[in-house]
Amino acid sequence: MEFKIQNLVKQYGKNTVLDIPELTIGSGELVGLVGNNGAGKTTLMRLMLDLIEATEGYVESDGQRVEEDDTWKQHTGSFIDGHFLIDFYTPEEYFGFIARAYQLSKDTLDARLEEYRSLMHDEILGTRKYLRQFSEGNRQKIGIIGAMLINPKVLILDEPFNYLDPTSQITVAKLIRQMNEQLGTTVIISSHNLSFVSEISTRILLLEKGVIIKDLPNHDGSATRELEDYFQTAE
Amino acid sequence: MLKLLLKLWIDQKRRDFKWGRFFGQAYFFALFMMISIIITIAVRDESGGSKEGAEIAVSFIAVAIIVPDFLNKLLMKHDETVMDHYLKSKPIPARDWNRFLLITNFVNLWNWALPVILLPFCLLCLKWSVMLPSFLMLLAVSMVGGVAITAFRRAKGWSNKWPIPVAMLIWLIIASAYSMTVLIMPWWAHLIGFLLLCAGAIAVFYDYLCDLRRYNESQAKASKLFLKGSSSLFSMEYISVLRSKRLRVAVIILPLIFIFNSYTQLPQGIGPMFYMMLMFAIYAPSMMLGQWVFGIEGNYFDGLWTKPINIRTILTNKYWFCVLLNILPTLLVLPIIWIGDVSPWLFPVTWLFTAGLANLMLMPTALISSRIELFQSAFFNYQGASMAVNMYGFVVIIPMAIYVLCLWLLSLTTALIVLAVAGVIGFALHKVVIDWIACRYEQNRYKNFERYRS
Repeated sequence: MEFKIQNLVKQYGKNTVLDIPELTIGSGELVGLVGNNGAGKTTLMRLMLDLIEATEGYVESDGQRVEEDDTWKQHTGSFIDGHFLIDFYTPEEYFGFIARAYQLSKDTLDARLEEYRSLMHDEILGTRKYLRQFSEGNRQKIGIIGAMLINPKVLILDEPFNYLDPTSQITVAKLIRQMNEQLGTTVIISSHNLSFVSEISTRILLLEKGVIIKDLPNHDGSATRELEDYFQTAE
Repeated sequence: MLKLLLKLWIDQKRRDFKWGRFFGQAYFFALFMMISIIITIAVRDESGGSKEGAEIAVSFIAVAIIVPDFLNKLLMKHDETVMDHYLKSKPIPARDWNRFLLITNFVNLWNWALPVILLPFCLLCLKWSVMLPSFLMLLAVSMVGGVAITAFRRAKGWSNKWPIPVAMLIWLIIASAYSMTVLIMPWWAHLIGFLLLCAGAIAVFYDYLCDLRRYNESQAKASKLFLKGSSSLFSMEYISVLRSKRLRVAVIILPLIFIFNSYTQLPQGIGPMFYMMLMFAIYAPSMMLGQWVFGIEGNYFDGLWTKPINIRTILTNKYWFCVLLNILPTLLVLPIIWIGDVSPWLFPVTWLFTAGLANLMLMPTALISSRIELFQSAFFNYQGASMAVNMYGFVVIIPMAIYVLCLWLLSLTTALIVLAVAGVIGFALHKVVIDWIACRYEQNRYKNFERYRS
């Protein structure tokens, strides 16, 4: 599933927060978005998900402009923040809701949830708690699982390692890479955690003030040095 | 440190101040004041308009408001009673915090509400020399209830809470007994005694409040689940209502009041007022929800939009859920057929008109609704309300006016036919209207999403 971005600009008033003249993300790539706060990572993801309006330009998913055609929703899993979670649901109901939306059978849902048991640590299912009652870390896990549960062709995750304990960070990194390698899922993640991003990404896009300043192929952490140099010298 | 706490509190109040909320509260307050003025004038005229000796009644009024005032605050007054984590981790003595709670009680809106509503009595029925002292007496009684409620909120567990209602009962007995002395004592001496009694009661509740220890702990515990299991898009409608206290209270309490009013209107005869109450009773549950179409979903719309779920389906579910909501109150007002002299056709026709047309008229609020906080208090909560639509009940006035005017101006048979036809037209057109709303919503979706995030 290929993403194509053409002349994409997002402005708030006179302030340009994103400006990408051209970008193609090929099918099966695992792209890490890195950059300091305000670099435009989340804005780019929101534009890819048609959650905010582009001032200029467009994003295409599989040849269709995301704001014009809804087909991308059928095969895209995403989690940006708490606004993706239905707070009055229990995790079981939330996952059940996602399964219904994507027409997954109960058996498929149960089998898929089983794959994420290691991430849930027995702290999520069967707790009889509503999503709003979970800690940020567990909410993050629920959001990530909700996005991955549908075995998407495209997976978009904003800061997936935030709030997670070290074990869960490692598990999430593994699950993302596994999905990318086994299902050929195109993955776009943003993170401030350079070690995880450079460990799992096949390509890293470095953003600064809304502009992609480096597009680094990353094989076995080859981009790590360049990223470290950038962040050490960046003001 | 007390000064610092007060400064923080004032800054917070200043920053949280919203004109919309202010006007909303002022609007309802003005309504209550008008009712109070009308009642006071009626009572004064009936008693011949003499102000001589009227101050004696103040003591009895003060005692009479103790219970309703306490119950009113139990529902309405929600003050912070425990330091949040930020303050708790700073060197703020508990003594200063408790004093802060006491001081903020003296300026709390709900502690002034009832005395101010009774102010017309002081102004219109009492001599000028006793107006202010009488008002002070009412205010002092209200303050006792206010401090008691603060202690009640602070107490954790029923073992700590129950002494407060018991103490209120004792306070009621003492105040009632003392109020009798107004008949044998000079009024000014009685007044001073009453104020001292109130001060004593405040001191007792404050002392208890100071003794209560409580931590600001989150309550992330397992819940008693309302309706386990279903995860369909339609079930989301009723699960959200059942699990959000704000929605639950709104959908249950208001209809109950109007159902009660429908019955109590019967002795006055069948007229516009009865029709209004009847329609409100049937319409209220869907009206309470329908004034915020997508206000609930605004909390997780990003999640919905990125999934293969279309707006039209959500709106259609909402419409049919509202239709179902109107059925229960219709059943509850049905016994009126046997109690009052009312056409039995009035009930199904009212349901038909309300469910078919009035609910459909609520659907366009999807285009302007803000996100509503699901887990806040329901009472006098204007968060998420639109000034134009919700605050002054515009979404209610139009269908209500059509309904009441039809029944008032036309013959009953004609009115019932007109209303039934209107309801059927509503049902017949609902798909077209919802399609149009969904289309408009999608055209302006980015603005709508932005509104939910703000």
